[in-house]
Amino acid sequence: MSKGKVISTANNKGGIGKTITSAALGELLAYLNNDVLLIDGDPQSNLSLQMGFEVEDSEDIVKGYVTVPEDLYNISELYRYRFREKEKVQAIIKPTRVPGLDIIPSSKRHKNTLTHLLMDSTGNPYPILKRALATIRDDYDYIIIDTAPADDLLIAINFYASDFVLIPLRVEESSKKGLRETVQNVLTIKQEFDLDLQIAGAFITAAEPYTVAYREMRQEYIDEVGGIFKDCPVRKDTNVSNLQRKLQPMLPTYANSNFVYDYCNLLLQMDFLDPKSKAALEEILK
Amino acid sequence: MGRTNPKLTFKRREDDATNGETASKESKEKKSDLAGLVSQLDQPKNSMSVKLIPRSKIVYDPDNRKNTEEVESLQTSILVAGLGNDLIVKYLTESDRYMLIAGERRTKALDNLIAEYSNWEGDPTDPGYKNYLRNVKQFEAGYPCKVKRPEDDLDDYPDEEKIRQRILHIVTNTEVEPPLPADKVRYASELVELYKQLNIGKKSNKDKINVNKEVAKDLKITPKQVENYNVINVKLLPGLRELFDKGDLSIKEAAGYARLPEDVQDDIYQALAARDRKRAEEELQLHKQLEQSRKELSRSKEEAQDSVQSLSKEIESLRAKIAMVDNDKTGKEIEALKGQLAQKIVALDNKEKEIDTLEEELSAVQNRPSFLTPAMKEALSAEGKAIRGIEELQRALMNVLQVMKEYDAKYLSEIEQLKTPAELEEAIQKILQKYLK
Repeated sequence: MSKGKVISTANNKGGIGKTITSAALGELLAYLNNDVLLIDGDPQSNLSLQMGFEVEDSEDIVKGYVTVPEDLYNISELYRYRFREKEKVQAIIKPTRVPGLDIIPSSKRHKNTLTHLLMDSTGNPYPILKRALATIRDDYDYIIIDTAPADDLLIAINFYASDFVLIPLRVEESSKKGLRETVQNVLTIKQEFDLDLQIAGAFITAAEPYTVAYREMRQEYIDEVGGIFKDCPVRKDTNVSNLQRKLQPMLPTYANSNFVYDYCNLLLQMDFLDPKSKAALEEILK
Repeated sequence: MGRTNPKLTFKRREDDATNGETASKESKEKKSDLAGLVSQLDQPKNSMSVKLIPRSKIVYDPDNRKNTEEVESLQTSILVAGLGNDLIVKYLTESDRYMLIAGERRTKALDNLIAEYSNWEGDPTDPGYKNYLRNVKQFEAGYPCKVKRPEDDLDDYPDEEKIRQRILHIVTNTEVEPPLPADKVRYASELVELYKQLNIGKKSNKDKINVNKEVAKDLKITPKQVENYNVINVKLLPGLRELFDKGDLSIKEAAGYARLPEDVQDDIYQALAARDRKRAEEELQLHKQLEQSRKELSRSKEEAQDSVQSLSKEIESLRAKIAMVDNDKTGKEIEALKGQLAQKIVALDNKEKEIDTLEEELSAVQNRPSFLTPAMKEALSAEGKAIRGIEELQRALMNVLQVMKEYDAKYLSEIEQLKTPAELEEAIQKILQKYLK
């Protein structure tokens, strides 16, 4: 099996659909017969919650008074102990209810990771995640990292580990600002380390296509970032709320919802989609 | 009585009259800013990018030899004419440092210049200091480096490409500065190793790389030299290797020594370590002489052994034939014949014993002492005598064999005709008479 493609969903403006995008694309890709790994890179751990892996860290654990038992290791320990052995990385990967879809969960203590990294001056922090993922990349077709809404070292580390960055947007000036900052970040990392990092696309979520605001904003995005803007909005859909309220898998319960249809269309536009999955997806959309 | 909201009045301030305009202007600037960023994303990625890298982040290649020659003249040239070319570095992911691929001496020169002039308290009109301000001061912030793409344990490349990169690196290194003999050997052996690795996956001989030829091409030497380098690398004793690395031995000498047995190498090393080149030379000559005589001795020993073997075979067959015709009537004559045969056999045994002693002498020669002592010389001449002795013995045995063969042929043909014991007796009488003559 070939090396899994690593995709980060990112925008340092929060609440614009990074997590639901990661979950939806992950589930779709798994449905299309791919082995997919989700990585929750956000201490808010909403992706873990959505996938049924919510672990409430006690205050003592968050503050570091108590060591975390090994069976509860997650993304925080991957960073903390700089995993570079396959067995260690495999040990923190959990299977979800969706066949073919695994997850490395996160939890509240992950918010300390950045502090640890900044205080620990030994070694280079940038390759930590990439090195860990390199041990298991052969086992997956896609690895999707759900990043935290931030603009910090952890985001840079996530980008360093990625091949593609996917940027969700909303119809608001602040998410455009987030887009600009994210593009700037990608560019910096790309140039600093001479990486092949690409922006897979930016697209509007929770879109209301018939409003003037949407049309104007869409035009602005097309004018300014035409090359990377994907004109495949994901429509606002109460089913997204239902999904997130009931913590269900997306398929097959919501298979006929607008947002699932929209994510399918978006996926078709992505450069990283392999031909086989693309053909299967086109077949479904017929 | 319910509270009522105070009546609010919002009044646009005079100053803000143009706010709308500035806002749109700003957003336009931002717009072009974002579009510019996005356009940069599409720029093709260079295999090298040029950066100013702080000195603290630049490290030397531990594999490179520490060449500090001509740093001073380089220093002067940089001071007067500026830094001609950028350094070439490679990013080390693990340590977040940049390792020099090319430009160690330039780095040292810059280091020295900055150490000398950065806190200059002398005459500000000093020409050196003025040149420093013009040509070098800018590098206090960082040295200009071309950064090669990182190659590390993250494994973005297939192995073959990594190997090819390493080969290219070595070849470039040797092209930039002609390597010292010791480095040549190190480079050659690494290249040989690398090409061998490239050959591992290849099944048909057609695809396989001719390692020595390829290395020779890379280092601009002959395949024979590559082989010499390889011998030095694999077989030269560590002590001699050290001398070679220091430049005390030439490649030719080192390759010659490397082909000697370890004990001889050790003796030579002792001599060289005692700064006695003459003794080392003697030692080498002695070894060559001994090697030569050993070869000759063992060759003649083998020959002697061969003839002894065939002799004993023939004696054996002769005995069998005598046994066939052995009976009471011809007993006496046969006894005589038997006695003769027994004599030959005893002689043969003696010669075999001599060969054994010869062998002992030979092995004594092989375990020779370090230098030609008088006893040693005697042993050498004894060897000569022994060889001559063997030759004489061989000649004698050949004569005996010749006679026996003649006898054998006639005896056999006549025996075939014999019908009665009387005839047999007569025949034997004849043969014995002839033989005894």
